Amino acid sequence: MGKIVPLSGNSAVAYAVKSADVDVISAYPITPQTTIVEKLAEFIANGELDAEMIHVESEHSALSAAVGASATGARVYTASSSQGIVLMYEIMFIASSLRLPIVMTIATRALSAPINIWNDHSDFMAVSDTGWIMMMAENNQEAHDDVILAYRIAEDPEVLLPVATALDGYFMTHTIEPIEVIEKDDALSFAPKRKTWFTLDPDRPVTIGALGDPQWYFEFKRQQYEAMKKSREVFEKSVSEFAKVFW
Amino acid sequence: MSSGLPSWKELPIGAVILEPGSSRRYKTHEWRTLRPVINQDKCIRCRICWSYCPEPAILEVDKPYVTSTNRKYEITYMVDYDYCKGCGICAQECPVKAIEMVPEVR
Repeated sequence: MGKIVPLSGNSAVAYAVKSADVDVISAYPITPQTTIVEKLAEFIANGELDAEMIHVESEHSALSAAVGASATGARVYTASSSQGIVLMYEIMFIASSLRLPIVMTIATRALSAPINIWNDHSDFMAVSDTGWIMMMAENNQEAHDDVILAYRIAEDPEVLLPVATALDGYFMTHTIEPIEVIEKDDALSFAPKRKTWFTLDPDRPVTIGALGDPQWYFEFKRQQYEAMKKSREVFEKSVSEFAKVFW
Repeated sequence: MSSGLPSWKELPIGAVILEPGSSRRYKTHEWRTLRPVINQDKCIRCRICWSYCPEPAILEVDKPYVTSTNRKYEITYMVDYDYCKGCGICAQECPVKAIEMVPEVR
């Protein structure tokens, strides 16, 4: 059993991202997500996490930078809420279609209007048509575990789809619970960093994001559909192994 | 019905293209309903069609041409019918009306 520490939902998520040893974090602050990336910025500043933090001017740019970073083969993380999620919407489809295994946390929050910083699932449910795998945590421990699971599932060569893990805004993000923290070595042996997708490499140039007319387009949509179907099996296998290793 | 194109099982994921310059194989002439035909006798080699063509599908070829009035040119303008989409800008811009848009018959 690992060390048990009292952590808010957002801190629990940040600790998991640190243990997953991400290479690039690209995010824009929004309530109630902000403290996740704040904590990650602190880890980087303290030298506890060796990652690049990309400061951007909007959530649209945050996910765009994440797409670019993931295309180089980096393990990438971002997080957002509410209006931030719907501003990312355009790029969410691109991330899943390019089959980039990005992991994002959604601290769920209601959408405008009227402006409401409190919790509901309208942002999370808006993701359901974007081709992202979705995971909703029931408590802070799950929010922590989901991040490690998400990287394992996203980077599986039979899946290669982005994953959105979610936790309830405030009810979980700002509530402190006892968390059994998964340490880096354990996280990386369960979810080793893999580069099983086509990455940008000057020695092996490829074109990413080109034109694809209908006769090509639907072949790629079929690939995505098959990967999403396969992810169910990979999810169940990963969860049972997770239970054996960590519970 | 098989289209002869590779299926989702054979294609690389993420619509990644591994072969550089593959868009050359995409012949956009299929979009055309009118084809430009250059009258080489009328053409004064001003290069306006060449510079206006958005594709560019007007080719400047090192091919001498002698008109029926015995005027000699060192170059000839020709249409690249593989990529010409038949927009008609060349015919519109030609100052001597040397380009005619002819209905495409297949």
